[in-house]
Amino acid sequence: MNHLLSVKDLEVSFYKESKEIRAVKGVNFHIEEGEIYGIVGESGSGKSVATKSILRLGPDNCKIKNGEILFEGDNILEKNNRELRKIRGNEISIIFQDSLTSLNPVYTIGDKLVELIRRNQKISKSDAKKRAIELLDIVGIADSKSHLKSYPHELSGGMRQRVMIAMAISSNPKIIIADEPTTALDVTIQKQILYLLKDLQKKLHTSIILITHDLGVVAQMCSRIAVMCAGYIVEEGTTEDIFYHPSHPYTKALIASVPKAGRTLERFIEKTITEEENENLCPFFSRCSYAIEKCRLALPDNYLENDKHSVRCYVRGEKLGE
Amino acid sequence: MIEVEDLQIYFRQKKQKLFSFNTEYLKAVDHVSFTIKRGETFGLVGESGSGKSTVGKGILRYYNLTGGNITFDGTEIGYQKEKELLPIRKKMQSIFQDPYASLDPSHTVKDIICEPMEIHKLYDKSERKERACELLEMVGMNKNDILRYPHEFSGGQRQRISIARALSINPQFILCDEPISALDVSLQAQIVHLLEGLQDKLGLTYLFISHQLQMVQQICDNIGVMFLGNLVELSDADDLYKNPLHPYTKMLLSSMLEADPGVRCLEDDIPEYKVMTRVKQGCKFSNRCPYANSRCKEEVPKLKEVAKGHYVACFQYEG
Repeated sequence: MNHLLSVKDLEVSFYKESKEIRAVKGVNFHIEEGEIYGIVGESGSGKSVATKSILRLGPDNCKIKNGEILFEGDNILEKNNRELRKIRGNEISIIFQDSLTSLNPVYTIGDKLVELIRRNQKISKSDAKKRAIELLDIVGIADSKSHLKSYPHELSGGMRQRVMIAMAISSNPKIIIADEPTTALDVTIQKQILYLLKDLQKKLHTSIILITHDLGVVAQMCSRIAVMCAGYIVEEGTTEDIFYHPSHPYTKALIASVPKAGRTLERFIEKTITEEENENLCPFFSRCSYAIEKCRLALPDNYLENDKHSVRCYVRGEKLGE
Repeated sequence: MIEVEDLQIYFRQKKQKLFSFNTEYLKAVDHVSFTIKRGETFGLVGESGSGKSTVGKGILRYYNLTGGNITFDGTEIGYQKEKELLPIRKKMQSIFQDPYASLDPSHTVKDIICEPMEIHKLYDKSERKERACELLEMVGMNKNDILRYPHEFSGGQRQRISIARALSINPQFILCDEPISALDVSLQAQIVHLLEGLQDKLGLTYLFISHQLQMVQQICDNIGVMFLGNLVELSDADDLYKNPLHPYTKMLLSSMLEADPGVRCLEDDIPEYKVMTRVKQGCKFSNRCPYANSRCKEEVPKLKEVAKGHYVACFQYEG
């Protein structure tokens, strides 16, 4: 088992007024060195929670109940805060969706970068400043020297996201978690940021975990994809497998709901909040049009379509077409 | 049905100097003209800051116009006073982007849907409630939901409530200001389906504002492309996607990411990234345009018809 990062049986719950809400219900995945791994799913499917748990960044009422997260062989969940700090931002870093709220408005870009660099590496302030300028150059911010003195609100959304990326790569991390990095951006800017991420991945040989709900983004960026639905990974496989041979009805429905010229949009059944769902059944059961009697009884196991393609469904694969 | 002529909406910006009375204006919408026919869906696309929402809100007269005029159903509404506008407001409604912010959290669904009817003094109390139930069913929700509060619903359901509210006074025209941008992919398709269905049933006219090109292409009959306050291209949907003329439209279309791993959109060389400032003179796209020449930097191109029904504002297609 020589995966860079592997997540095993991860279960995360939120506690609210003594009620338990299970956000992630036993998730397994692993990241290889230098690959871009995509996680897609609707909002509320647990994709952000699962990846934030890798760095134990959940809020106070969030608890990792079960599972292990092995990073280079060590279990992150067993580390204390001090050891964890060495990993956060250093070995594994994260880019958030909303760059305006995730950058502190009272610090300049330069302050922030220098602080970050000096925390992870023992170098002088002026060296750290030089490194900061270098980083801004890498992420394509022109006139990087003068931008060190800018505050986050003075920059555009695309530039702020570049600063976030500069911060994320400051200590040459092995893994970057990108949590919806382009959702808040315009299409033209989105393309530039994705170019940048892909380029960095090639040059620095970093692995990227890309969380998004935009299927266009994963199709273009990722080598492998996991589809999440209500806390479970319902399907996992290579990009080609997922897009050309989707096996789970949920994946099929997701792909069909992408607008495309000359094709009518598929109707997608909306999830209702009020409906009490049986926790122990397939998460897509109440919306699935292929559901059989067996689905009513128990949660399906993971089946392997091929050695890289697994799916959690009784009625799977080619049978869906009939 | 709606004619927008030479529309100008400027916002005054404060200058930071003491004792200075020179005000600067931000030209949010600058000389924009188009017409929306009855029963069609007109799309406006462009990046953020291009003025597409301002045009939409200008048509509903949420903003005061700086210049130009708007004709709705034969009446000029560009400079009418609030009181005179009320009967016309009854014919137009809007649906906004953020379903979390656009519904009052302290009102029940019934209050929300009935409010427009109360303002326009339509129906009596029991009829209003009946109509609210009817509308909820029309947008695919349960009429028992009527006494619940917005926080009990998901984003897609809230957007349905917004639609029910917009429909409550039988409008002819609905402004859809990015109605699907805040929703999940899976829900977007649903809301679009709903809007299309309602259009067939009630003969509505939509102005659909979005930056999601794929969606706009699906549902719009005619599309206008906006860039920094100007309308740069205007055409019917098929023609625009098959045969884009303006360099900006081409750029927008090329940044669409195909949800198909077989089509590679990110393989070519990385384009250089430059910080863009607003151009003071000439065509506003000239500092990004690969075809820009000296003329573009001095004159502003006008919207011209180059093929039947296909207008473009670019010197490349002149003479």
